[in-house]
Amino acid sequence: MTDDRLRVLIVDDERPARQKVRRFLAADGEIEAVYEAPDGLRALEIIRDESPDLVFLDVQMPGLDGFGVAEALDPDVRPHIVFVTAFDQYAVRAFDVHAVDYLVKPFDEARFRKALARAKAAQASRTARGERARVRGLLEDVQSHRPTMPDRLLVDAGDRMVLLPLDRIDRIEAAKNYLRIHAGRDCFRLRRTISGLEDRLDPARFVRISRSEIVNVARIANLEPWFHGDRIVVLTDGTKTRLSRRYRDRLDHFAP
Amino acid sequence: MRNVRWRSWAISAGALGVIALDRFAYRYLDLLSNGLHESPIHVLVDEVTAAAAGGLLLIPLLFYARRVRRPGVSLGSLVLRHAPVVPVFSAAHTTLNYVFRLGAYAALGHGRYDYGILSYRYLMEFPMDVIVYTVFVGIVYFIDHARETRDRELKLVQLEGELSRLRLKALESQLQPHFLFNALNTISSVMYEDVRAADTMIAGLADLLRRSLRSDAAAECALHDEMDTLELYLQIMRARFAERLTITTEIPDETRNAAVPTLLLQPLVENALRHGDPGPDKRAEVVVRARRENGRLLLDVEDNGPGVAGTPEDVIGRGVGLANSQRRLAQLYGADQRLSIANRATGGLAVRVEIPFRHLVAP
Repeated sequence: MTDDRLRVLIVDDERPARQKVRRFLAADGEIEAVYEAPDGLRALEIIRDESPDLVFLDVQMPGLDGFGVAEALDPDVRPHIVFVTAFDQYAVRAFDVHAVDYLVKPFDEARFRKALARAKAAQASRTARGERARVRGLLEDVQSHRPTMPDRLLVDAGDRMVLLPLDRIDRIEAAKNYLRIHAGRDCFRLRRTISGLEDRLDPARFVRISRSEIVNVARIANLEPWFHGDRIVVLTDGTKTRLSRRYRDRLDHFAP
Repeated sequence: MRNVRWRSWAISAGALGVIALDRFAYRYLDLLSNGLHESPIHVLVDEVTAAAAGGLLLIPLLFYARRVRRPGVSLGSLVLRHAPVVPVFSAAHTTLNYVFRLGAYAALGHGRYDYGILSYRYLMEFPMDVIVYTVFVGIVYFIDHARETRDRELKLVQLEGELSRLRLKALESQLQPHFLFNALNTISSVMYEDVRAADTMIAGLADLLRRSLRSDAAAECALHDEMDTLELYLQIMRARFAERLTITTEIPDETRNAAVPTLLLQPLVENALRHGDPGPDKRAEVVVRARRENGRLLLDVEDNGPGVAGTPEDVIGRGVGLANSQRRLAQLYGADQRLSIANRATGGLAVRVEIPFRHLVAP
């Protein structure tokens, strides 16, 4: 970094809300550039292309929300994040627990300055490592406590990120240190463990059939017997895959 | 529960004891008044053994009586099921009497008990046992019935409590705190650029809150009233998302006075705005439309979002707003209403509410 001037990204689905942050930032002499994103996917693009130092990230957004954006970022090069929320008692408690910076809407200029000063101090003292650990803790907490299952999954299509509706997924396969998501002819990547993802999916719609595979229940055409109590799962597109004996009971409650 | 059970067994045993003593007193005094001198011990043994034998047999009878009284069973079939059991009960009772008395006499050292001619004894005990049997089964059924009635009433009270909790929940969702704080944030932002616009927004938000908080709100209101409330909500949403939101309302004059459930439309529109996002670079378009058709009022809320996958039941179950709306419609109109959802041919979701068309009668 050449100097201490900050490059800031504002993520909020509402223009007046972005304008307000922009106005407050304009009064600060140490801001080099300000970017705006109206949704989570656009935010990820800007972070990738412009690598801002600081992100004001609204939690509640349609499509990919603030936590989704934070999760999708590479933890090693993640910019400093200040979460912004209007009303989410759970999120606010989680921010406090993990000592992550946040603002609640509506906030006045004094409160905004305080949050900005803290972010700057963190930037200057290079305590990024500690901050990353705190954000990671927050995200793990949020992931395990989120009441609703996602109905879309943010996946990597190689050149861009895509929000893939869960209904489109046929099966999910573990590769080395990522997952391969098969959806029709497409295959996407997702950096996550298979168990971690399994916990987030609705067990009535997705079922783990082996150490390395999850299938969409709606895509199962039939089951054929195999050796040692294993089964062959035939999907509606003709794909055959193995249901391991150890995971057989997970399919039991779908039996008539 | 366990305690209650032990207590009722103890009470039953005590009652049998009282009956035995009562019968003993009656028979012994009867003997004395006839100038006969029988040992009171023998009379006591007679009555205690009769009560004990009866009591022992009443235990399996209790289970049998409860088993045959299935819900909805007719009186006739109950009688048919009990009639063949009565002679068995009586024979067993007489036999047990004899066995117990033999044992009691032997234990007391009073020699061998003489029960006379057994076949007459069986006949003699029968009429009394018919009465004992009938009274006992009658008491069991009376107690069970009273208990069931009480349970049913308790359940009814619980159901009513649940209903009012649901109502409270519906109110909370109308007063979405998330919406409220976002609206305040928008106002605080607009204020820096346009004080007049901010002032208008505050007045609108206040009106909306006042309408939501009205405790005397009737279950139904005129459609034009409902549209006024919705307009207050839409004004705020337009201010927040002006550049990517188009909301159109088509309310023909003939429907303006139609009765509709109060605050029905706002959650439906909220739902359309939340889930009907067509994606980046596209404007979200929401249409609210009313129509009168064959004595029915049709209310449509349509968006141009991604639509839904899965069955309508699934979707209504998943979207809290829709499930609440469905419950409210059922409360107000019973089976004479319909909330349906469908993916539109042009993309997006259409939610339709169908209720009887009638003009709101002024209270």
